[in-house]
Amino acid sequence: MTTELALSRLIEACLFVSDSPLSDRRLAEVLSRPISEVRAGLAELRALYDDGGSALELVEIAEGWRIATRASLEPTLARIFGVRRLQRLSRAALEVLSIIAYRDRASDPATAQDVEQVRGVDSYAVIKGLMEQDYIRQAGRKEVPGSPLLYVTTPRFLEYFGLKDLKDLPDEMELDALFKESPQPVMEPSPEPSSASPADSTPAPPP
Amino acid sequence: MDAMPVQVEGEAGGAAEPGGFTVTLDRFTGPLDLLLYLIKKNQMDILELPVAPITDQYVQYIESQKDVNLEVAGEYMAMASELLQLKSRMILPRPPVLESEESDPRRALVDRLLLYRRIQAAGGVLKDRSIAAAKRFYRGTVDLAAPYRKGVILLQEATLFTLLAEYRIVLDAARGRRRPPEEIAIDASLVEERSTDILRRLSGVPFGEIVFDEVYFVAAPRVEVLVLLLSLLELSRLHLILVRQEAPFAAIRLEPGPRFRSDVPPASLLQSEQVFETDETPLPASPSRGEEVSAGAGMT
Repeated sequence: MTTELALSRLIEACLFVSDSPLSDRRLAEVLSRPISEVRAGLAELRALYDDGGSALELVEIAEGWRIATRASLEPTLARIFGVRRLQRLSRAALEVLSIIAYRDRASDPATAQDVEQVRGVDSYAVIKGLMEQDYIRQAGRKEVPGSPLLYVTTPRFLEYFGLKDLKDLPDEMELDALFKESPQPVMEPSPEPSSASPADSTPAPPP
Repeated sequence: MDAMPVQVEGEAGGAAEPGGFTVTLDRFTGPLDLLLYLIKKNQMDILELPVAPITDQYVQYIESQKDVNLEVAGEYMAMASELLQLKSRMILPRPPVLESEESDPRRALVDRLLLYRRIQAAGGVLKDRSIAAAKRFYRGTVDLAAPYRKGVILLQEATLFTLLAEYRIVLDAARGRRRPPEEIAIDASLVEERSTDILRRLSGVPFGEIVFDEVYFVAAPRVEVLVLLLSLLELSRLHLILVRQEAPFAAIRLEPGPRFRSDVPPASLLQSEQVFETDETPLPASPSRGEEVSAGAGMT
Protein backbone atom coordinates (compact mmCIF):
# COMPACT_ATOMS: atom_id res chain seq x y z
CA MET A 1 0.00 0.00 0.00
CA THR A 2 1.30 3.43 0.86
CA THR A 3 4.97 3.90 1.37
CA GLU A 4 5.83 4.83 4.93
CA LEU A 5 6.82 8.51 4.90
CA ALA A 6 8.50 10.45 7.66
CA LEU A 7 6.06 12.80 9.41
CA SER A 8 8.23 15.75 8.41
CA ARG A 9 7.67 14.86 4.75
CA LEU A 10 3.92 14.62 5.25
CA ILE A 11 3.96 18.03 6.89
CA GLU A 12 5.97 19.32 3.94
CA ALA A 13 3.29 18.06 1.53
CA CYS A 14 0.52 19.71 3.57
CA LEU A 15 2.32 23.03 3.70
CA PHE A 16 3.06 22.80 -0.02
CA VAL A 17 -0.55 22.37 -1.10
CA SER A 18 -2.01 24.88 1.34
CA ASP A 19 -2.56 28.46 0.23
CA SER A 20 -2.69 29.84 3.74
CA PRO A 21 -0.62 29.27 6.88
CA LEU A 22 -1.32 26.01 8.74
CA SER A 23 -1.14 25.96 12.51
CA ASP A 24 0.48 23.01 14.29
CA ARG A 25 -2.94 22.28 15.75
CA ARG A 26 -4.49 22.07 12.31
CA LEU A 27 -1.64 19.91 11.02
CA ALA A 28 -2.14 17.54 13.94
CA GLU A 29 -5.83 17.30 13.04
CA VAL A 30 -5.18 16.72 9.36
CA LEU A 31 -2.46 14.13 9.93
CA SER A 32 -4.16 12.52 12.96
CA ARG A 33 -0.99 12.75 14.99
CA PRO A 34 -0.35 14.21 18.42
CA ILE A 35 0.58 17.87 18.37
CA SER A 36 3.92 17.21 20.07
CA GLU A 37 4.94 14.90 17.21
CA VAL A 38 3.84 17.51 14.68
CA ARG A 39 5.96 20.13 16.41
CA ALA A 40 8.95 17.81 16.33
CA GLY A 41 8.23 17.12 12.66
CA LEU A 42 8.12 20.85 11.92
CA ALA A 43 11.48 21.35 13.61
CA GLU A 44 12.91 18.46 11.63
CA LEU A 45 11.56 19.82 8.36
CA ARG A 46 12.89 23.26 9.17
CA ALA A 47 16.35 21.83 9.74
CA LEU A 48 16.11 19.86 6.48
CA TYR A 49 15.47 23.05 4.52
CA ASP A 50 18.11 25.02 6.41
CA ASP A 51 20.85 22.45 6.05
CA GLY A 52 20.07 21.29 2.54
CA GLY A 53 20.94 24.57 0.83
CA SER A 54 17.34 24.95 -0.32
CA ALA A 55 15.97 28.15 -1.80
CA LEU A 56 13.01 27.61 0.51
CA GLU A 57 12.59 27.85 4.24
CA LEU A 58 9.92 27.25 6.83
CA VAL A 59 8.35 30.45 8.16
CA GLU A 60 6.08 30.92 11.15
CA ILE A 61 3.59 33.58 10.19
CA ALA A 62 -0.01 34.59 10.85
CA GLU A 63 -0.60 31.88 13.47
CA GLY A 64 0.69 29.11 11.25
CA TRP A 65 3.49 27.77 9.11
CA ARG A 66 4.30 28.35 5.48
CA ILE A 67 6.99 27.49 3.00
CA ALA A 68 8.59 30.62 1.57
CA THR A 69 11.61 31.59 -0.46
CA ARG A 70 14.60 32.54 1.62
CA ALA A 71 14.73 36.25 2.48
CA SER A 72 18.41 36.44 1.54
CA LEU A 73 17.47 35.54 -2.05
CA GLU A 74 15.10 38.48 -2.38
CA PRO A 75 17.27 40.75 -4.56
CA THR A 76 17.88 37.96 -7.06
CA LEU A 77 14.32 36.67 -7.06
CA ALA A 78 12.67 40.09 -7.28
CA ARG A 79 14.69 40.74 -10.41
CA ILE A 80 13.81 37.36 -11.95
CA PHE A 81 10.13 37.67 -11.07
CA GLY A 82 10.00 41.25 -12.30
CA VAL A 83 8.22 42.28 -9.13
CA ARG A 84 8.00 45.91 -8.17
CA ARG A 85 6.87 46.46 -4.63
CA LEU A 86 5.00 49.72 -4.84
CA GLN A 87 2.72 49.68 -1.88
CA ARG A 88 4.06 51.44 1.15
CA LEU A 89 1.87 52.44 4.01
CA SER A 90 1.89 56.08 5.07
CA ARG A 91 2.92 57.10 8.58
CA ALA A 92 -0.72 57.88 9.32
CA ALA A 93 -1.75 54.38 8.24
CA LEU A 94 0.99 52.78 10.36
CA GLU A 95 -0.13 54.77 13.38
CA VAL A 96 -3.75 53.74 12.97
CA LEU A 97 -2.72 50.11 12.50
CA SER A 98 -0.54 50.24 15.62
CA ILE A 99 -3.38 51.59 17.73
CA ILE A 100 -5.84 49.00 16.44
CA ALA A 101 -3.31 46.15 16.74
CA TYR A 102 -2.30 46.94 20.32
CA ARG A 103 -5.89 47.36 21.43
CA ASP A 104 -6.74 44.10 19.65
CA ARG A 105 -3.87 42.37 21.46
CA ALA A 106 -5.18 43.62 24.77
CA SER A 107 -8.60 42.14 23.84
CA ASP A 108 -10.02 45.65 24.03
CA PRO A 109 -10.76 46.49 20.39
CA ALA A 110 -10.60 50.16 19.39
CA THR A 111 -13.36 52.30 17.91
CA ALA A 112 -12.74 55.03 15.36
CA GLN A 113 -13.19 57.47 18.23
CA ASP A 114 -10.42 55.75 20.24
CA VAL A 115 -8.07 56.04 17.27
CA GLU A 116 -8.92 59.68 16.82
CA GLN A 117 -8.35 60.39 20.50
CA VAL A 118 -4.85 58.95 20.47
CA ARG A 119 -3.85 60.61 17.20
CA GLY A 120 -5.56 63.95 17.68
CA VAL A 121 -6.88 63.89 14.12
CA ASP A 122 -9.93 62.45 12.44
CA SER A 123 -8.81 59.04 11.19
CA TYR A 124 -11.93 57.74 9.52
CA ALA A 125 -10.54 57.96 5.98
CA VAL A 126 -7.46 55.97 6.98
CA ILE A 127 -9.52 53.34 8.77
CA LYS A 128 -11.72 52.99 5.71
CA GLY A 129 -8.70 52.62 3.44
CA LEU A 130 -7.12 50.01 5.70
CA MET A 131 -10.39 48.09 5.79
CA GLU A 132 -10.67 48.16 2.00
CA GLN A 133 -7.19 46.69 1.82
CA ASP A 134 -8.10 44.02 4.38
CA TYR A 135 -5.58 44.99 7.04
CA ILE A 136 -8.38 45.48 9.56
CA ARG A 137 -11.99 44.40 9.85
CA GLN A 138 -15.04 45.30 11.86
CA ALA A 139 -15.71 43.13 14.89
CA GLY A 140 -19.10 44.05 16.26
CA ARG A 141 -20.10 47.13 18.15
CA LYS A 142 -19.13 48.53 21.50
CA GLU A 143 -21.89 48.40 24.09
CA VAL A 144 -21.88 52.10 24.82
CA PRO A 145 -24.24 54.87 23.70
CA GLY A 146 -24.10 55.18 19.94
CA SER A 147 -22.78 51.60 19.73
CA PRO A 148 -19.71 52.46 17.64
CA LEU A 149 -18.01 49.82 15.48
CA LEU A 150 -14.99 47.97 16.81
CA TYR A 151 -11.95 47.26 14.67
CA VAL A 152 -9.49 44.37 14.86
CA THR A 153 -6.61 43.16 12.71
CA THR A 154 -6.90 40.45 10.04
CA PRO A 155 -4.67 37.51 9.05
CA ARG A 156 -3.55 39.69 6.15
CA PHE A 157 -2.21 42.19 8.68
CA LEU A 158 -0.07 39.47 10.29
CA GLU A 159 1.10 38.21 6.92
CA TYR A 160 1.95 41.65 5.57
CA PHE A 161 4.06 42.49 8.61
CA GLY A 162 5.51 38.99 8.92
CA LEU A 163 4.11 38.53 12.42
CA LYS A 164 3.50 35.13 14.05
CA ASP A 165 0.65 36.65 16.04
CA LEU A 166 -0.15 39.91 17.84
CA LYS A 167 2.10 38.89 20.75
CA ASP A 168 4.93 39.14 18.24
CA LEU A 169 4.57 42.95 18.40
CA PRO A 170 7.09 44.68 20.66
CA ASP A 171 5.73 45.40 24.14
CA GLU A 172 5.70 48.81 25.80
CA MET A 173 9.10 48.35 27.41
CA GLU A 174 10.67 47.51 24.08
CA LEU A 175 9.01 50.51 22.45
CA ASP A 176 10.17 52.91 25.13
CA ALA A 177 13.68 51.46 24.83
CA LEU A 178 13.68 52.72 21.25
CA PHE A 179 13.76 56.30 22.55
CA LYS A 180 16.69 55.71 24.85
CA GLU A 181 18.65 54.43 21.88
CA SER A 182 17.65 57.35 19.70
CA PRO A 183 20.60 59.58 18.77
CA GLN A 184 18.72 62.72 19.75
CA PRO A 185 17.87 62.31 23.43
CA VAL A 186 14.47 63.63 24.27
CA MET A 187 14.62 62.85 27.98
CA GLU A 188 17.43 65.24 28.85
CA PRO A 189 16.53 68.63 30.19
CA SER A 190 17.80 71.32 27.91
CA PRO A 191 18.61 74.99 28.27
CA GLU A 192 15.73 77.30 27.52
CA PRO A 193 15.59 77.66 23.76
CA SER A 194 15.29 81.02 22.08
CA SER A 195 11.65 80.49 21.32
CA ALA A 196 11.15 83.25 18.77
CA SER A 197 13.64 81.92 16.23
CA PRO A 198 15.03 78.45 16.75
CA ALA A 199 18.71 78.30 15.96
CA ASP A 200 18.49 74.90 14.33
CA SER A 201 17.76 75.59 10.68
CA THR A 202 18.01 71.97 9.54
CA PRO A 203 15.34 70.17 11.50
CA ALA A 204 15.54 66.44 11.93
CA PRO A 205 12.55 64.48 10.67
CA PRO A 206 9.88 63.72 13.23
CA PRO A 207 10.22 60.28 14.84
CA MET B 1 -6.41 65.50 6.31
CA ASP B 2 -4.63 62.23 6.67
CA ALA B 3 -2.98 60.70 3.69
CA MET B 4 -4.60 57.57 2.36
CA PRO B 5 -2.79 54.41 3.36
CA VAL B 6 -1.91 53.53 -0.20
CA GLN B 7 -0.06 56.74 -0.70
CA VAL B 8 3.68 56.57 -0.87
CA GLU B 9 5.26 58.58 1.90
CA GLY B 10 6.14 61.99 0.57
CA GLU B 11 9.47 63.43 1.56
CA ALA B 12 8.41 66.80 0.30
CA GLY B 13 10.51 69.64 1.59
CA GLY B 14 8.52 72.75 2.23
CA ALA B 15 9.52 76.29 1.49
CA ALA B 16 11.72 77.97 4.06
CA GLU B 17 9.76 79.94 6.61
CA PRO B 18 10.97 83.19 8.12
CA GLY B 19 11.25 81.57 11.55
CA GLY B 20 13.77 79.07 10.28
CA PHE B 21 11.26 76.25 9.78
CA THR B 22 11.69 74.35 6.59
CA VAL B 23 8.83 71.90 6.82
CA THR B 24 5.17 72.22 5.96
CA LEU B 25 2.14 70.98 7.84
CA ASP B 26 1.34 68.07 5.53
CA ARG B 27 4.58 66.54 6.67
CA PHE B 28 3.01 65.93 10.03
CA THR B 29 0.37 63.35 10.81
CA GLY B 30 -1.36 65.64 13.28
CA PRO B 31 -0.95 68.27 15.99
CA LEU B 32 0.65 65.76 18.39
CA ASP B 33 3.17 64.83 15.73
CA LEU B 34 4.05 68.50 15.29
CA LEU B 35 4.36 68.94 19.05
CA LEU B 36 6.66 65.93 19.36
CA TYR B 37 8.73 67.30 16.53
CA LEU B 38 9.11 70.68 18.23
CA ILE B 39 9.95 69.03 21.55
CA LYS B 40 12.61 66.84 19.98
CA LYS B 41 14.00 69.68 17.90
CA ASN B 42 14.50 71.82 20.97
CA GLN B 43 15.69 68.86 23.02
CA MET B 44 13.04 69.53 25.63
CA ASP B 45 12.16 67.08 28.37
CA ILE B 46 8.77 65.72 27.55
CA LEU B 47 8.04 64.99 31.23
CA GLU B 48 8.92 68.54 32.26
CA LEU B 49 7.25 70.11 29.29
CA PRO B 50 8.12 73.83 29.14
CA VAL B 51 4.63 74.98 28.23
CA ALA B 52 5.29 78.64 27.44
CA PRO B 53 8.09 78.17 24.88
CA ILE B 54 6.46 75.17 23.21
CA THR B 55 3.16 77.05 22.97
CA ASP B 56 4.85 80.07 21.44
CA GLN B 57 6.67 77.96 18.89
CA TYR B 58 3.60 75.93 18.09
CA VAL B 59 1.40 78.97 17.58
CA GLN B 60 4.08 80.71 15.55
CA TYR B 61 4.39 77.67 13.34
CA ILE B 62 0.64 77.36 12.84
CA GLU B 63 0.40 81.07 12.01
CA SER B 64 3.06 80.67 9.34
CA GLN B 65 1.13 77.78 7.83
CA LYS B 66 -2.34 79.28 8.01
CA ASP B 67 -2.44 80.39 4.41
CA VAL B 68 -1.19 77.06 3.13
CA ASN B 69 -4.05 74.82 4.11
CA LEU B 70 -7.05 76.09 6.02
CA GLU B 71 -8.73 72.71 6.30
CA VAL B 72 -5.72 71.03 7.86
CA ALA B 73 -5.26 73.95 10.18
CA GLY B 74 -8.56 73.12 11.95
CA GLU B 75 -7.22 70.25 14.04
CA TYR B 76 -3.98 72.11 14.61
CA MET B 77 -5.87 75.19 15.74
CA ALA B 78 -7.71 73.14 18.35
CA MET B 79 -4.39 72.05 19.80
CA ALA B 80 -3.15 75.65 19.72
CA SER B 81 -6.05 76.84 21.85
CA GLU B 82 -5.53 73.90 24.21
CA LEU B 83 -1.90 74.91 24.59
CA LEU B 84 -2.72 78.56 25.14
CA GLN B 85 -5.20 77.60 27.83
CA LEU B 86 -2.57 75.42 29.45
CA LYS B 87 -0.05 78.22 29.28
CA SER B 88 -2.34 80.65 31.09
CA ARG B 89 -3.14 78.02 33.71
CA MET B 90 0.58 77.54 34.30
CA ILE B 91 1.02 81.27 34.83
CA LEU B 92 -1.82 81.56 37.35
CA PRO B 93 -0.78 80.93 40.94
CA ARG B 94 -1.99 77.59 42.20
CA PRO B 95 -3.12 76.93 45.75
CA PRO B 96 -0.23 75.29 47.60
CA VAL B 97 -2.44 72.43 48.77
CA LEU B 98 -2.81 71.16 45.26
CA GLU B 99 0.87 71.61 44.48
CA SER B 100 1.46 67.96 43.83
CA GLU B 101 2.37 65.94 40.81
CA GLU B 102 -1.24 64.83 40.43
CA SER B 103 -2.47 68.36 39.97
CA ASP B 104 0.05 69.31 37.30
CA PRO B 105 -2.10 70.77 34.54
CA ARG B 106 0.38 69.46 31.99
CA ARG B 107 -0.27 65.89 33.04
CA ALA B 108 -3.02 65.09 30.51
CA LEU B 109 -1.09 66.50 27.57
CA VAL B 110 2.18 64.83 28.59
CA ASP B 111 0.37 61.49 28.88
CA ARG B 112 -1.11 61.94 25.44
CA LEU B 113 2.29 62.80 24.00
CA LEU B 114 3.93 59.79 25.62
CA LEU B 115 1.23 57.47 24.33
CA TYR B 116 1.37 58.98 20.89
CA ARG B 117 5.15 58.69 20.80
CA ARG B 118 4.84 55.04 21.70
CA ILE B 119 2.31 54.51 18.90
CA GLN B 120 4.65 56.17 16.44
CA ALA B 121 7.47 53.91 17.58
CA ALA B 122 5.20 50.91 17.06
CA GLY B 123 4.40 52.21 13.58
CA GLY B 124 8.10 52.38 12.85
CA VAL B 125 8.56 48.81 14.04
CA LEU B 126 5.67 47.70 11.84
CA LYS B 127 7.23 49.40 8.87
CA ASP B 128 10.54 47.62 9.43
CA ARG B 129 8.72 44.33 9.82
CA SER B 130 6.84 44.83 6.55
CA ILE B 131 10.08 45.52 4.71
CA ALA B 132 11.60 42.35 6.14
CA ALA B 133 8.45 40.33 5.39
CA ALA B 134 8.41 41.52 1.78
CA LYS B 135 11.69 39.72 1.22
CA ARG B 136 9.91 36.37 1.14
CA PHE B 137 7.79 35.03 -1.68
CA TYR B 138 5.02 32.54 -1.14
CA ARG B 139 3.48 30.00 -3.41
CA GLY B 140 0.86 31.43 -5.74
CA THR B 141 1.93 35.06 -5.41
CA VAL B 142 3.91 35.28 -8.65
CA ASP B 143 2.39 33.94 -11.84
CA LEU B 144 5.36 33.14 -14.01
CA ALA B 145 3.29 31.01 -16.39
CA ALA B 146 1.20 33.97 -17.53
CA PRO B 147 2.50 35.97 -20.46
CA TYR B 148 4.20 38.87 -18.80
CA ARG B 149 6.85 41.47 -19.32
CA LYS B 150 9.51 42.63 -16.94
CA GLY B 151 8.28 45.20 -14.50
CA VAL B 152 4.67 44.15 -14.68
CA ILE B 153 2.67 44.84 -11.54
CA LEU B 154 1.08 42.08 -9.57
CA LEU B 155 -2.60 42.85 -9.52
CA GLN B 156 -2.66 42.03 -5.81
CA GLU B 157 -0.37 44.91 -5.11
CA ALA B 158 -1.76 47.36 -7.61
CA THR B 159 -3.12 50.56 -6.18
CA LEU B 160 -5.37 53.03 -7.93
CA PHE B 161 -2.31 55.06 -8.83
CA THR B 162 -0.34 52.20 -10.32
CA LEU B 163 -3.40 51.19 -12.30
CA LEU B 164 -3.79 54.74 -13.57
CA ALA B 165 -0.15 54.81 -14.60
CA GLU B 166 -0.56 51.54 -16.48
CA TYR B 167 -3.76 52.79 -18.08
CA ARG B 168 -1.88 55.82 -19.34
CA ILE B 169 0.81 53.63 -20.88
CA VAL B 170 -1.81 51.55 -22.68
CA LEU B 171 -3.58 54.70 -23.83
CA ASP B 172 -0.40 56.27 -25.16
CA ALA B 173 0.49 53.08 -26.97
CA ALA B 174 -2.95 52.97 -28.56
CA ARG B 175 -2.62 56.61 -29.61
CA GLY B 176 0.71 55.99 -31.24
CA ARG B 177 -0.74 53.15 -33.24
CA ARG B 178 -3.87 54.99 -34.28
CA ARG B 179 -3.99 55.84 -38.00
CA PRO B 180 -5.80 58.79 -39.50
CA PRO B 181 -9.29 57.71 -40.51
CA GLU B 182 -9.59 56.83 -44.16
CA GLU B 183 -13.18 57.90 -44.42
CA ILE B 184 -14.92 60.86 -42.85
CA ALA B 185 -18.67 60.52 -42.92
CA ILE B 186 -20.31 63.87 -43.44
CA ASP B 187 -23.86 64.28 -44.55
CA ALA B 188 -23.71 65.97 -47.95
CA SER B 189 -26.94 67.83 -47.32
CA LEU B 190 -25.18 69.67 -44.46
CA VAL B 191 -22.58 71.05 -46.88
CA GLU B 192 -25.31 72.00 -49.33
CA GLU B 193 -27.27 73.75 -46.63
CA ARG B 194 -24.25 75.68 -45.47
CA SER B 195 -23.25 76.66 -49.02
CA THR B 196 -26.73 77.92 -49.71
CA ASP B 197 -26.62 79.91 -46.52
CA ILE B 198 -23.34 81.57 -47.45
CA LEU B 199 -24.62 82.46 -50.92
CA ARG B 200 -27.80 83.93 -49.43
CA ARG B 201 -25.74 86.08 -47.07
CA LEU B 202 -23.58 87.24 -49.98
CA SER B 203 -26.54 88.40 -52.04
CA GLY B 204 -27.99 90.16 -48.99
CA VAL B 205 -25.06 92.48 -48.23
CA PRO B 206 -24.76 95.86 -50.02
CA PHE B 207 -21.06 95.75 -50.83
CA GLY B 208 -21.15 92.09 -51.72
CA GLU B 209 -18.59 91.17 -49.15
CA ILE B 210 -18.72 89.30 -45.84
CA VAL B 211 -16.04 88.64 -43.28
CA PHE B 212 -15.18 85.07 -42.45
CA ASP B 213 -15.93 85.74 -38.78
CA GLU B 214 -19.58 86.27 -39.69
CA VAL B 215 -20.01 82.69 -40.79
CA TYR B 216 -17.59 81.02 -38.42
CA PHE B 217 -18.40 80.24 -34.82
CA VAL B 218 -15.46 79.53 -32.61
CA ALA B 219 -17.43 77.31 -30.30
CA ALA B 220 -19.06 75.31 -33.09
CA PRO B 221 -18.80 71.53 -32.95
CA ARG B 222 -16.02 70.04 -35.02
CA VAL B 223 -18.42 68.65 -37.61
CA GLU B 224 -19.84 72.10 -38.24
CA VAL B 225 -16.41 73.62 -38.72
CA LEU B 226 -15.61 70.84 -41.15
CA VAL B 227 -18.87 71.44 -43.01
CA LEU B 228 -18.07 75.15 -43.26
CA LEU B 229 -14.60 74.44 -44.60
CA LEU B 230 -15.96 72.01 -47.20
CA SER B 231 -18.65 74.50 -48.21
CA LEU B 232 -16.13 77.32 -48.71
CA LEU B 233 -13.84 75.04 -50.71
CA GLU B 234 -16.71 73.82 -52.83
CA LEU B 235 -18.05 77.34 -53.45
CA SER B 236 -14.67 78.71 -54.42
CA ARG B 237 -13.97 75.72 -56.63
CA LEU B 238 -17.23 76.46 -58.45
CA HIS B 239 -16.17 80.15 -58.80
CA LEU B 240 -19.23 81.18 -56.84
CA ILE B 241 -17.14 82.98 -54.24
CA LEU B 242 -13.68 84.51 -53.91
CA VAL B 243 -11.76 84.15 -50.67
CA ARG B 244 -9.34 86.93 -49.84
CA GLN B 245 -6.89 87.58 -47.02
CA GLU B 246 -4.82 90.78 -47.21
CA ALA B 247 -2.12 89.77 -44.77
CA PRO B 248 -1.26 86.81 -42.57
CA PHE B 249 -3.78 86.59 -39.69
CA ALA B 250 -5.84 89.40 -41.22
CA ALA B 251 -9.58 89.03 -41.64
CA ILE B 252 -10.63 86.57 -44.29
CA ARG B 253 -13.14 88.15 -46.66
CA LEU B 254 -15.64 86.40 -48.87
CA GLU B 255 -16.98 88.09 -52.03
CA PRO B 256 -19.02 86.95 -54.97
CA GLY B 257 -17.10 84.95 -57.56
CA PRO B 258 -17.30 85.28 -61.36
CA ARG B 259 -20.18 82.81 -61.62
CA PHE B 260 -22.20 84.28 -58.76
CA ARG B 261 -25.57 85.66 -59.80
CA SER B 262 -27.69 87.48 -57.27
CA ASP B 263 -30.86 87.04 -59.39
CA VAL B 264 -30.75 83.24 -59.19
CA PRO B 265 -31.79 81.53 -55.93
CA PRO B 266 -28.69 80.16 -54.16
CA ALA B 267 -30.03 76.61 -54.21
CA SER B 268 -30.30 76.60 -58.00
CA LEU B 269 -26.81 78.05 -58.34
CA LEU B 270 -25.52 75.01 -56.57
CA GLN B 271 -27.87 72.53 -58.19
CA SER B 272 -27.04 73.67 -61.67
CA GLU B 273 -23.56 72.45 -61.08
CA GLN B 274 -24.75 69.05 -59.87
CA VAL B 275 -22.06 69.16 -57.32
CA PHE B 276 -23.77 67.25 -54.62
CA GLU B 277 -25.15 63.82 -54.87
CA THR B 278 -28.83 63.61 -54.40
CA ASP B 279 -29.01 60.54 -52.20
CA GLU B 280 -29.03 60.91 -48.46
CA THR B 281 -26.18 58.54 -47.68
CA PRO B 282 -23.12 60.17 -46.14
CA LEU B 283 -20.41 60.77 -48.67
CA PRO B 284 -17.00 59.32 -48.16
CA ALA B 285 -14.36 61.99 -48.52
CA SER B 286 -12.28 59.72 -50.68
CA PRO B 287 -10.34 60.42 -53.85
CA SER B 288 -12.96 58.62 -55.93
CA ARG B 289 -15.53 61.21 -54.93
CA GLY B 290 -13.28 64.04 -56.01
CA GLU B 291 -12.98 62.48 -59.48
CA GLU B 292 -16.72 62.09 -59.72
CA VAL B 293 -17.31 65.71 -58.82
CA SER B 294 -14.75 67.15 -61.20
CA ALA B 295 -16.09 64.93 -63.97
CA GLY B 296 -19.60 66.19 -63.31
CA ALA B 297 -18.42 69.80 -63.20
CA GLY B 298 -16.56 69.39 -66.44
CA MET B 299 -19.65 68.20 -68.27
CA THR B 300 -21.68 71.27 -67.46
